Amino acid sequence: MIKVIVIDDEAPGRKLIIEYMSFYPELVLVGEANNGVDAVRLINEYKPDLIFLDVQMPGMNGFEILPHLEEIPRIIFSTAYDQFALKAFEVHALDYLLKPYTQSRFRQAVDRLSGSAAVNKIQPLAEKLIMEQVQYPERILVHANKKLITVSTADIVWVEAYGDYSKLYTLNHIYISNFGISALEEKLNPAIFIRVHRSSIINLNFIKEVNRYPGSYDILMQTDAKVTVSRSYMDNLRKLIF
Amino acid sequence: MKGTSKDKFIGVSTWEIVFYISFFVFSASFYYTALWLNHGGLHLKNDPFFNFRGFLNWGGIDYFLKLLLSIPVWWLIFVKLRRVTLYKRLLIHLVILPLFVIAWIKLYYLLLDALKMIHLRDWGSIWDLYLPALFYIMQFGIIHAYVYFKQNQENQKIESALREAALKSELSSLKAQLNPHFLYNVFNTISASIPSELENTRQMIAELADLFRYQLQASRSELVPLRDEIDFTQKYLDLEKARFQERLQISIAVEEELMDELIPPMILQPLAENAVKHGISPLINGGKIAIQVKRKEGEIEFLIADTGVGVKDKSQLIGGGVGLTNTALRLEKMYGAKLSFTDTVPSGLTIKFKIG
Repeated sequence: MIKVIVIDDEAPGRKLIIEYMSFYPELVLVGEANNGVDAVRLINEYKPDLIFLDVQMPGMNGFEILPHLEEIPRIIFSTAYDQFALKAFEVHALDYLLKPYTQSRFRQAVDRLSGSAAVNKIQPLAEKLIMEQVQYPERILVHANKKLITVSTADIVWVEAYGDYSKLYTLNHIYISNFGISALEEKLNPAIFIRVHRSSIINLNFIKEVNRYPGSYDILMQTDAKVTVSRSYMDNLRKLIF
Repeated sequence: MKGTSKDKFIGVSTWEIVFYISFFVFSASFYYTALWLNHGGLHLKNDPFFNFRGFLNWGGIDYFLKLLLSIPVWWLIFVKLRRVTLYKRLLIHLVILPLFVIAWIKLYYLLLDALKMIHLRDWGSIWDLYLPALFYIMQFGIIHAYVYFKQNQENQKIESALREAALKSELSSLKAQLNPHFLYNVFNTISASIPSELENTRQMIAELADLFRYQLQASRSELVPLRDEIDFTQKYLDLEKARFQERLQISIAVEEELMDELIPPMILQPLAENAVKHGISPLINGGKIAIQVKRKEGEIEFLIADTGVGVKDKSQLIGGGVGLTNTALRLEKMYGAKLSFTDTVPSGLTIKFKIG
């Protein structure tokens, strides 16, 4: 069973997709949205496997909803844009249907999706959209069980460098992010997150204890993880504590 | 742009030939006059200016031979090798120049000896090497300048015609401009409102939208793969086929290896449209349109043949409908290629052109 949500601001657009979907018993419609805000709410609630997503919608466009999703499903864009306009969004590698489309074109897009080699091609775009946000992003894209999900930055207890990647520790989980620790340092709000070591960033809200030794500090987080503060980053911490 | 080939011989007009010959007659007379004055013709009683044998001896035969020898050189440089770069042709001149001078002097002395006329001898004949060489350089210098000037003029004409055509189509597209998003969304709405059994109608709507998309793309890019243009023409003809039903038969044959070649967009479809509009649609029983694209002598040959009413006066074809004129102008501009029109047997029009 593949859970599907159809998002298009125009009712006929949704009707046509739902009609074409009816040829695939495995595609089960779990919701419809006619704007970006509702789409985010529905997707976060139902965690669909696939969404049909219109690009131009009032309020929030198809791309703008991506950074707000907790889990990023497979996406087939359905748009009146032409290939050239889409190129501007670098989505040419993704599945998209140009309106108006025929049933056979619809079939192609759905078949491609279920192919064994199908990977979620939305990742690079989603990453880009998330990291390009002007302010500090509320969510960060990570992999978990072969799924693309997002973690709320407020839930991150601390970050540990992991080669070119980073480990994000929350109270209950560990996630791997594609971004290195320095890239994350720039994207995490410095009012809450501070770098304390070449390979660690901590969330001030989750500090349990600070242990002072002659010439160094240790920080005990609420997860009982012990994070060392290195000499070169000591000033970052001092500014906050004293 | 009109078929002016009637009053021209390998691209040369009668006036140009007359002018060219006059140039030699003038040069010969000028030279003769100078020689006559040089040996005191004004004062000598027994040396009249009007003296046919004297003229032949002192200029006439000289320039007549130069004319005869210049023609093959002209043909080689300005007809056969006209597509070779100017730089290379100048190098070729360097080879031909001594050949020209030697051939001329041999023939000249042979002829004068046979006619028992006098010519320069020994070291004096250096003048008969120097002057023809000078003449050669002057003559071809002038011709090169003239041809360059003419080509430039021609290019400017084509350019201004193209600009005019571009302006025209821009104006007409401005007049017809609907926001394409609006258009495609409306198409989609129409598509959705059709009962699902009518999938072929939805297909037609999608094809129509594809035509619009391609046209929009064409206005933005200089070159597209042949595949796209064929696809576009096919979709256009499919829609016409839906209108005309069995009155219109279509066959499109394109060599597969050519599909990725780059061609200017919207160059084939206007010809197909012309064939439908003027060839097939006036006929009660309709007819057939055959499109062929194949490789020929390293170039890509396009053939659009219809079995329609045909056209008697083919010189009227270009300059009328915007479609044909536009294609013709762009071919001329980009490839120096021309549309050729012939009759389809037993009736109809065949249009052919080559690019490459």
